[in-house]
Amino acid sequence: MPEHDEERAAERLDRMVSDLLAGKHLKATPSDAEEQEAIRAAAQLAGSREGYPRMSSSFRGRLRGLLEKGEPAPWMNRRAALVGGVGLTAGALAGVLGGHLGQLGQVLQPARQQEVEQTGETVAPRPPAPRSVIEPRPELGRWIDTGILFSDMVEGTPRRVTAGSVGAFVFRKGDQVLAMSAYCTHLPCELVWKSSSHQLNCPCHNQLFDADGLALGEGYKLPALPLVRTRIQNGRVEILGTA
Amino acid sequence: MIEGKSASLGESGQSGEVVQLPAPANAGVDIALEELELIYAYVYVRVGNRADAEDVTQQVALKAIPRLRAGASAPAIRAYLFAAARSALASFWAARFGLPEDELRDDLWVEKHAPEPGTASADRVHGILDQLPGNYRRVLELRFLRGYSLKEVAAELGSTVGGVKVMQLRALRAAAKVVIDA
Repeated sequence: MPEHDEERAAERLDRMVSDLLAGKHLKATPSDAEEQEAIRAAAQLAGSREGYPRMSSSFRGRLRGLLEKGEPAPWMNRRAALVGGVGLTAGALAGVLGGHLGQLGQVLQPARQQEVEQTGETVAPRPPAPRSVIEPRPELGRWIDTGILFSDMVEGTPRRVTAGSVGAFVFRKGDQVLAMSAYCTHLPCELVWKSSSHQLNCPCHNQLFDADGLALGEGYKLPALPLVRTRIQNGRVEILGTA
Repeated sequence: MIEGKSASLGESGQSGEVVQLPAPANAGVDIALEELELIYAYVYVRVGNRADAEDVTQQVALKAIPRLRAGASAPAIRAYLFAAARSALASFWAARFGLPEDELRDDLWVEKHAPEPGTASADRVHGILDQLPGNYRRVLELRFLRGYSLKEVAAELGSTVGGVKVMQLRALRAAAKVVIDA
């Protein structure tokens, strides 16, 4: 009976849909091949629920363990070493790494690494425009150790940190660090780093900010992301957050 | 070329003119994890659940390790990861449906360019739903985008659970056709 067939197919498909929506494995089997297009459509719809799917921290930890079993990748170490202040010119950089990384040369500065580490100086904001700075109330403000070693930071790959009520992205800029609010200045949505374009993206309205926290895009310019005070103490990155 | 430059890096580090930090042991892993975030998002929007997305991403990570060790350039690594992800996805669907991998419509729902996670997926879904008849669109919106249970959808649409199941099946078949014809 065709009607019964359809009901059975509907029943089977719904079991898969329910699993998908619960985040469980897709339990399709070869007997479902006839409905494969509907099943893949269901998977795609379920997959669109999260605008910015991110790995869970436990899965990320598992992957880290997996990758760390192997030798560190040479291409990455070399790049990290360059950003660490070896002092090559931009031209030499481009020669080593190819054109797309050549812009790193613009932010490379003479290596003052140990000086910064030893003095624990607070790094001044780079952009020239007046810029708001997150200043927690004095009785609540605390320098919070992010647990990040400055020497582990890689140019072009910010770290997302939380210090009490302050959420920030911390960027390495040559031998300095720059920290800025992790929330869009339009709506209070949490920004996401897009490593492909080196931009922070707001998932709510697709607003973009560059790696200095300045709003991109045409038309009305949103305020830049407020800066978060940051410093390096004993080689570790700290930000001014709240207790 | 890279090898040659590598040697000169060592020399300038020893000359005393610059301060060289100890090479961070896990920088490579950090960057690889960032790349794998993109892969995870790419896979997730295709398989629709965390469990399978994690399995496929892990396969890609395992495949990539030897390539990382070989010292390929960053763009080459990324291209390799995406190729590995497409292949792992084809295997995933082939295993589920018991089909040879080349029979799968791999272009189904797949945009041409590497993903910008999220930017397009919501728009794309709405574009597809908009082409469906109103009742099909409604059932898919409620079920997938708003996460309603079958019971809740039935109450909302004044239907029965069984009726909603059948409508969901027809709506998903129709959605798949929209994509193929697009």
